[in-house]
Amino acid sequence: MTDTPSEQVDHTVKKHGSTKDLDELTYDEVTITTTAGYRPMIGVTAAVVIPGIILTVYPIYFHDPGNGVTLLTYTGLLWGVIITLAAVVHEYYVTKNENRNAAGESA
Amino acid sequence: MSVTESVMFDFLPLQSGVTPEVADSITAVGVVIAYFALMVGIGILYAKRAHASTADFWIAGGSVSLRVQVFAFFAAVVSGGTFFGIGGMAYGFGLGAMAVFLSAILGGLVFMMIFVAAPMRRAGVYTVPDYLKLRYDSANVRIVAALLFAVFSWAYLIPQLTAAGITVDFVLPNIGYSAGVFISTLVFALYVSVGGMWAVTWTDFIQGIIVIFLALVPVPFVIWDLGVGGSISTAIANNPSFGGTTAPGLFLIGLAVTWVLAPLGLPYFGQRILSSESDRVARRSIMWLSVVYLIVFGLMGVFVPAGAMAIEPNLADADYFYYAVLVEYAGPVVQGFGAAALFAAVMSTTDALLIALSASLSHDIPETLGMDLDEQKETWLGAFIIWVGAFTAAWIALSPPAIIGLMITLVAGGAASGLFPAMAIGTWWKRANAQGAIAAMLIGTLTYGGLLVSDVFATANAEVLVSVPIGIASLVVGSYLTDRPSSQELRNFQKFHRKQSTKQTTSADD
Repeated sequence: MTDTPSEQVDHTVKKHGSTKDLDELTYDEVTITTTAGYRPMIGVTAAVVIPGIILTVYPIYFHDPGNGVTLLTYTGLLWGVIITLAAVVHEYYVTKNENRNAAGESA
Repeated sequence: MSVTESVMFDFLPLQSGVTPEVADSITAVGVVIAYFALMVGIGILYAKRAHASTADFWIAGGSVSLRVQVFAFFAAVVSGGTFFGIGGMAYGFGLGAMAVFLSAILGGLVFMMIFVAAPMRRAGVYTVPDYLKLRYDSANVRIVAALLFAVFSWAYLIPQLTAAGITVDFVLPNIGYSAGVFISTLVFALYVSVGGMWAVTWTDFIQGIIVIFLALVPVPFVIWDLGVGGSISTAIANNPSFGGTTAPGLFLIGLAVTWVLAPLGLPYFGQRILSSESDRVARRSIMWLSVVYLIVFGLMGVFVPAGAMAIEPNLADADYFYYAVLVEYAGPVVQGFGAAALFAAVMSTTDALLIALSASLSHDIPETLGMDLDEQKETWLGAFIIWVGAFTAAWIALSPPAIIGLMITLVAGGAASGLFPAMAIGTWWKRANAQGAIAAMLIGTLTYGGLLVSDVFATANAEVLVSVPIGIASLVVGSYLTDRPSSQELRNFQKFHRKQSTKQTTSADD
């Protein structure tokens, strides 16, 4: 069987403007906090979890449901809208970071 | 009946009411047969290409474009469970439960997008267990993950085949549910084993479009007849709790946690990510499908069950809500297309599950055990496993253990407990190592299974509220108690997070 692409590891990575052999990587040198997806990941996780707690737990436990369409129905759907908007914002944010990083590397 | 089941059925007073029946079976059957023939034809069309290499069979060469992937991914996400389940949740438990269920699925999709889609696609592997092997530089991680993925894939097949049986029962009541399960299984296994991921991708693409269209078809009928507010108020008049929910709070929170975390551990989602032509396509396809999913199921999940509740508040099964509306408003041809839509929803997930199950058992495990299968042997073994997996699941589906929405949630809870920590946290936390990942997978899964079997909680879905934190704690503690990741693990970890948005075709020729 031919090698899978996973086995075709690129052994170099740009580091501080120079090319460093990945074989020499140490634990402390590995960082992902400057990658294009890191900050968007943190932000969108918060945008999913925090509204999720507020918009579901409050209506379930602290709001008298009453009759008709209840608060939980509205807030539950609102949570879905917030999540979907967060997905769009995430993609915009990551693409912007990737393009900026690419421009920085080529400069 | 277990405590969990009794709680489920205490607030779902169905099972003894009305079953809708199709008006003109012959026309509807014709539509369904034509649809089956189209799917099998696509399988045959891609037979040669699919069996050309293992990359083609498992991930369609990693070359699926954004336009195709959005609809194919949408179709995979819209299983029979969610097509029936979202509206069924509204009919059985009220609109509040439906809203939480729908939004939690969206949350899970977005988590999959932000945590694993791009890093996993950059790995350039054929299966998710293979990705975990690279991440943790461990064959043991791969084999544990492959076994879990195989179990979850197989268990998730059962509610899909149940949905297929219900659909055949609707179109062909004389044939009945059991024969329906086996006929559907035969068709699914045939085109997946012949056409591999290529057939799965193109059938899913078509099925995605069909599902979008047909999920929305009943909405204007209901609104035209009853009005926007009128449909909901009539439903509430027939069932006062329809506007909110009758489900316990703990059930809803467990449901939300399960579906926010489960997509990261459901095998067929990962397989679809790996088939994307680049990491950016993997991310964007999930973004677009989230938008489409919200619109389609936001409308369908509110108005179709409202229409069903207004028409018939005593359906024998909550999962019949869609048929009840079709029978009321549409003729036999549309009813046949409606049945085809449900088949599309079921098929598109079932085929992806069969591929994931087959990939785990015929690619990951033999390779880890050092069995030197050539590409042809591996794809034929894969095809054999597809048939065995499909028919053993069909056998269980003859006596399904619960309604579909609950069955898929039970399996999803296992995936969330066992695989979320190693997949999502391990992708972003460099200190996570193989020992931690294995501990998280085994302890998370066993804790969930133990809680489920022992009926510790009086409310369904609550198990994940304990098993997921235990799984996360196992990853953290297991990693800190053992050595730091090896240099190979660090290399792969770094590699997965590097920008790489150009086309990344994956094939045996690479």
